[in-house]
Amino acid sequence: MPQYRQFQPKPYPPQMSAYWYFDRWPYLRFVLREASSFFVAYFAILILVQAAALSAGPSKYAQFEACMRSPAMIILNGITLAFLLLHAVTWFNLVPRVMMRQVLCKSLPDPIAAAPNYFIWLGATAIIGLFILRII
Amino acid sequence: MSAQRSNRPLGWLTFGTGGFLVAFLLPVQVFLYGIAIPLGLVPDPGYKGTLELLQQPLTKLYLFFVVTLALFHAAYRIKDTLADTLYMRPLDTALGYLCYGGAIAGAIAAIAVLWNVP
Amino acid sequence: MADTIILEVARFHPERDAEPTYQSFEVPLRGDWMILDALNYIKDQLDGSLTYRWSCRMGICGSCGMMVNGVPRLTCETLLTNFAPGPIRVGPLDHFPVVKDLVIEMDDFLGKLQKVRPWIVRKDDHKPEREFIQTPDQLAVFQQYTLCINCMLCYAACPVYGLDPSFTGPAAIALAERYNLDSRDQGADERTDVLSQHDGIWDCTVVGECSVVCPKHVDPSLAIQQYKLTATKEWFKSWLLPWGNK
Repeated sequence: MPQYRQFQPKPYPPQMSAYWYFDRWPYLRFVLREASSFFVAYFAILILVQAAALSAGPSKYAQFEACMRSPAMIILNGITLAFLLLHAVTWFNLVPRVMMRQVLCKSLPDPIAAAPNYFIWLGATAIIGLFILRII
Repeated sequence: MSAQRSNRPLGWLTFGTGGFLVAFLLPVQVFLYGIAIPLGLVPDPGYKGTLELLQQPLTKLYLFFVVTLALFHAAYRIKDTLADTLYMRPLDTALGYLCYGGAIAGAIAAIAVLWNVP
Repeated sequence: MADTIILEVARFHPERDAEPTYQSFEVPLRGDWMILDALNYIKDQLDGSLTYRWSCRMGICGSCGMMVNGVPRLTCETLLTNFAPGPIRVGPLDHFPVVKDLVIEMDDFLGKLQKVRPWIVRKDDHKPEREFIQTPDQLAVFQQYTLCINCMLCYAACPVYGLDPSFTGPAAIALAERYNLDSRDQGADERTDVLSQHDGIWDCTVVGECSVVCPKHVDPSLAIQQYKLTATKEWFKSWLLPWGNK
């Protein structure tokens, strides 16, 4: 503000609530999407734990599998899956649109930019599933 | 010139690559190993089958990239989320070291674990 | 439908009040009235001291942005009947200092707008004999970003700007990108230093609300993510080919 007046009334400073993300659903949706990263980190570590258990021998792996069967782990992994799906869907609907815009230099309707990703996703899921289930 | 510019682009690139890998490749792994196999919804490949899969060099390479990039992706997002939701913006740099330190530690752990597969 | 509707309008007098309060007014509920018409009715008939900005009343000047039930809207484009039976809460734009009632101080935004140099920058000195030729395809690359009316609704919607006022913000970055992508402009590297700072584009966490509230469908979020790609390319070039920029 200009400094030429001695008694300048003070404007009211902007306020930001500490729980701003509860104010509106779009903000909560955003924080949930970002929170998926905690579960991504958790599962990445779990992959390493599983690999270590495999290396340690059949009895250790049996212990690992028993732990995975416990209700707490099933629920945790279920929540992880939900968050991963949230991440995947929001990612496919957001990121390819930007890349196509940058590469093609013109806008595409959003479904056209997003659709190929879902097909790739299906393909990758099928291939990895076949490997994990030892069908190939 | 580049002294003033942020070094975020590197973190962002790993964030983006990690995000794609996590989105495409991780859900099926979570579903199968985390839910379907423990609950018996699909035939269990068992210790032998899974170890066989892990012993292949391609699997080790795949897991290394997926785990490392997933951790770097998570580090970028976790740092931003903590700064925005818990008002930790002044601790930005410290948070950065914590999150990326953790990611690097995870990458080293990944190499160690995958190297030691019999 | 009832005849009238209640508007709860934010009041703040900088010399008398410590913080804003809400005052209720009963205004006629006409089918073709916007929130702005209701505010004008209040000022004309009920309380002449109500202070707010408005101008074109047709959604092109960008003056009348306010928070309507917690969402930043252009009050000249927001129908009263959409909120019947009410009450409707009208407040000043979020994340800006309040000067009086519904008027906010926008110096921060104007400073940022200047910093990104939103004009055609030419490096050559010669005077052109005719206008710059630009094909429709070249125009299509940046045309969407030219629609910005500087209404600052995107700043009110952006939680990152609320948490960190040094963030350059959606509109400023979209306008910088508008000129970076313009084939007639040669000033991309001048804008890079401003944008590539930590509080340039990198503060953005892609909440996306800026694009949702934009009344002109500028999609500033898309501009920011586009620029992140460009900035990353530039960053790698500056490390791998440091002599290239000299």
